Amino acid sequence: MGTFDAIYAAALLVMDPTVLLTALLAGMFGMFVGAMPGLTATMATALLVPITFFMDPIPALAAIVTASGMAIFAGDIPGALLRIPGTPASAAYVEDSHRLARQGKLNLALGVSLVVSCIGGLFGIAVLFLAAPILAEFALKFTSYEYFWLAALGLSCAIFIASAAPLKAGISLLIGLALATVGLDPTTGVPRFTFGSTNLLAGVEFIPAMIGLFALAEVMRGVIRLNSADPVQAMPVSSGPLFKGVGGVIRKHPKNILRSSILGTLIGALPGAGADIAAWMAYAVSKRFSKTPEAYGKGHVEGLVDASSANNAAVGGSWIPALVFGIPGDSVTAIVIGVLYMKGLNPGPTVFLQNPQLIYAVFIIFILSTLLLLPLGWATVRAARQVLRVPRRILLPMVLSFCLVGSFAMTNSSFGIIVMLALGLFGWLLEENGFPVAPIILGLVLGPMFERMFMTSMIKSGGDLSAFFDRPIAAVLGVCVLLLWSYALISAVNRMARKKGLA
Amino acid sequence: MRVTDALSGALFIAIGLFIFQVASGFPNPGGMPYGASLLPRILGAGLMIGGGLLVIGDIVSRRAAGAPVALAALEPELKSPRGLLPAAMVLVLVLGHILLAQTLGYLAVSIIGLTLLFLSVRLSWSASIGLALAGSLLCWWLFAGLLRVPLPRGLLEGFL
Repeated sequence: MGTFDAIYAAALLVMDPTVLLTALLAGMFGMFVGAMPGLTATMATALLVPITFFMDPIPALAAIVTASGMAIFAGDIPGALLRIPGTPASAAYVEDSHRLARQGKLNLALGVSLVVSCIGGLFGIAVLFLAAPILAEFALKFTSYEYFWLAALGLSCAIFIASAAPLKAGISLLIGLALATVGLDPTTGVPRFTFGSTNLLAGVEFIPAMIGLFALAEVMRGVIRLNSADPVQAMPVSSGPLFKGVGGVIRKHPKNILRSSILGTLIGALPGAGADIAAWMAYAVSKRFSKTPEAYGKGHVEGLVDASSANNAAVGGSWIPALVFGIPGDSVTAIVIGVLYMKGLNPGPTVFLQNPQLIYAVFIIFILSTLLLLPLGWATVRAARQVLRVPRRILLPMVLSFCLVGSFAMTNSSFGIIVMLALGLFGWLLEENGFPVAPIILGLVLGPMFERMFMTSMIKSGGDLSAFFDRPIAAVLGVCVLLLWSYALISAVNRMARKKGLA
Repeated sequence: MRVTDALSGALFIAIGLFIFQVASGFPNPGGMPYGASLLPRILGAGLMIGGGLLVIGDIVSRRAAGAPVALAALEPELKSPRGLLPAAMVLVLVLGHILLAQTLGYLAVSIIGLTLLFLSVRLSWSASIGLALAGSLLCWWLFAGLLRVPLPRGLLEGFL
């Protein structure tokens, strides 16, 4: 079958009313789940799987593609309104979007986020469409050394994103990495830090942990101030159309959008690295190259433009290795690969030869779902703004209620609630003392991959550290990481010296 | 609770030492010089160094400022029942779900706990009970009904 025949066949498959209706419903579902604090795009996809089991391959894929893309954008909404990122991919710029909302620029923050999400998403699809085989082949040549440095680069970003206190951010990161070591060691199978608990053998579940760190801590901070003499200042509601001023911001930062879309797609295309890391990296890169790095984390729109386009670009990118070689780019595509196997379609190069119309159908679904992002996103933002009219003394207990059932749902036991409570209280204490909590989540998410790659590399090289720089790409990545760290150390020493000079 | 960097630094040194100690007991696979204990020990050492830097930094800046600062201070809001009561009720609700939900059921724990929490933030009795009922039933419908999450039924086993 020629390429054009395949595209025509794919279009016929997609332009079926059932498929289109499924995509619309799944999109609304994704918007809802993503907008609920603590419920992630991964969870939206996982919850869809039992339903897609009863569908044909094309509507099943349409449901998953649409829901995951919507959920990634919708995660920005509670981030801006409540400072609770709806999904981990929104965590990098939650501080900026929330401060913008507090300044009365909620519409600008969400409007920009929506439009650049759409642009980033379309860019990711274009790359998926044109360069899928080449890029995946490139990523396939990576060994544990390259992956190790890549994970190290992602983790280092956690420290540079944290605004004023790299030392405290570093400690938070170490705590997150240490939490990730709880459970059965992936290389040797030894139980670590489980203290006899069978629940802990599987490790610290990261979704209840995130709900605790970001949501429970926020609820605690909020409720103790509810009855005080001076009530928490209500967030000014910005009126007017959602997309007002968005065009100006986009015209001002076309380079940021392009750079972050490329970065997001590349990171998404690497197995094991998805939208979360793409957002963190794009934010850190944006801050480094910005003319106003001091404004980041204080309600600056530039970081939002970068990170928000990168995380949606990564969604498209993560499908490259998934479709071409059957290697998941992130947790969402891992679920998708499972679904494809259930349908008897083994993802890999053979799908391109035997069922090319299926691959092109996925591409078309991707384009449709990204375009659907604009109207659905607009409607969701409109509805979500009603949240502002709910008094905080009603909202906070309700948020707590959702945290409780959400944490329970991840483990189907009260263990999820225990994890949420422990990390919530710990995170609350840390934040009151100036320790950022976002690096804990990054450490927890990237920790297992970081350690597995580190141990594999150590075992392969017999403990010879120079092997980490033997391969050219590994060497480049490694030098990048070391440069970042030396830069941080030198500037820390400089700061101390300057302080002493003043004293 | 706000504590000085010296105190939190000391705490992280203790945590780092604990991680290092426990991890040192992990066995290495047959004859290899490293294994499950390698990364946790690096992390433990990192926490000890980071904690140490916090302590040193705090002492240096304290000496420069010359004024004594309390080692730990409670948020002013938590010193009065106005702030303490809602915080306690949040804990009651969460602990209730952990300890009592299996026997009493999700709905009973959620309705009672939410009512107490709403009352503690000074909503009226009728509003508290109404909102607690609505919130709990909404969560039940959404998670147990639509999403098929096996929320504990407890006392209502057999009725729902």
